[in-house]
Amino acid sequence: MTTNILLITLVVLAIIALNTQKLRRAVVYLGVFSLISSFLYLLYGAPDVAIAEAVIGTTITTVLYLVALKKYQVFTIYFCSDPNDPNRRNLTNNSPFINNLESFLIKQEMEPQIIYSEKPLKTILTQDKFDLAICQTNQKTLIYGSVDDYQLDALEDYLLTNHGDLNIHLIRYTEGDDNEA
Amino acid sequence: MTFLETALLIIAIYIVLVLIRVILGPTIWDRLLGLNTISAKIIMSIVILALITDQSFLMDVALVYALLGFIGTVLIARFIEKKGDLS
Repeated sequence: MTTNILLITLVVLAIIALNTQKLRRAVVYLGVFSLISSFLYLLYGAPDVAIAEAVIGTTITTVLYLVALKKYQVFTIYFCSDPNDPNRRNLTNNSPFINNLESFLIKQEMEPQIIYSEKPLKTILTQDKFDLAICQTNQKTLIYGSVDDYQLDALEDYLLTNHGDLNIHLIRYTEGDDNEA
Repeated sequence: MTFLETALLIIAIYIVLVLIRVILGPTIWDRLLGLNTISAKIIMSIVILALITDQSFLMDVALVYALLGFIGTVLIARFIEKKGDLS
């Protein structure tokens, strides 16, 4: 009975760790997963395997994943121009704004990846995985970023000092109803 | 079903209840607290298992768990609070 309950929770946890949006959350789910799986090894009568799983799964992989999260370098920028919007401003590849943004990100040891998209902004915000979504009209520039993005403060400072003429509004965007501090 | 087996079953049900908080939990701190609670529950069930099977070396496993689960939780909490800085 106990074994069955724990086996079912293992399957649920594995599926949730795969489907989650934020990588930080997946690290916590994997920690719970390896805890329960190593207790199951004990129930099946393999204490040495359980000790190995506890050492490797709970400690070493957690530290490794956190280090990997810190070094995660690809910074995805969505540039959206909706073809139905009459106010839109077309952006070519050589716009100085984009070039400055790229050089700033490279200085911060990130690797910028810029995607030009014609989808409306709402679908991008709800469906795609991005670090920055930029939407530019004649009057102002709207930049959407996630609330718990650690790079965003430095980026805001840089943009406000160097591109004050573009009337930049930085909007901190929360995914769904999940507002993490 | 003996008393100890019933206790093991109840602890397994507790783990499921805490797991609901880990999955739903609005903030990352809820999830982290859930991880710590589950780790405590697992340690208790290892001790009960050691009593059921009458194998004293399972207590050593419980000790290793208690030490390592602490390190994992502290590292994740530090990572979140320092905004991605581990040192």
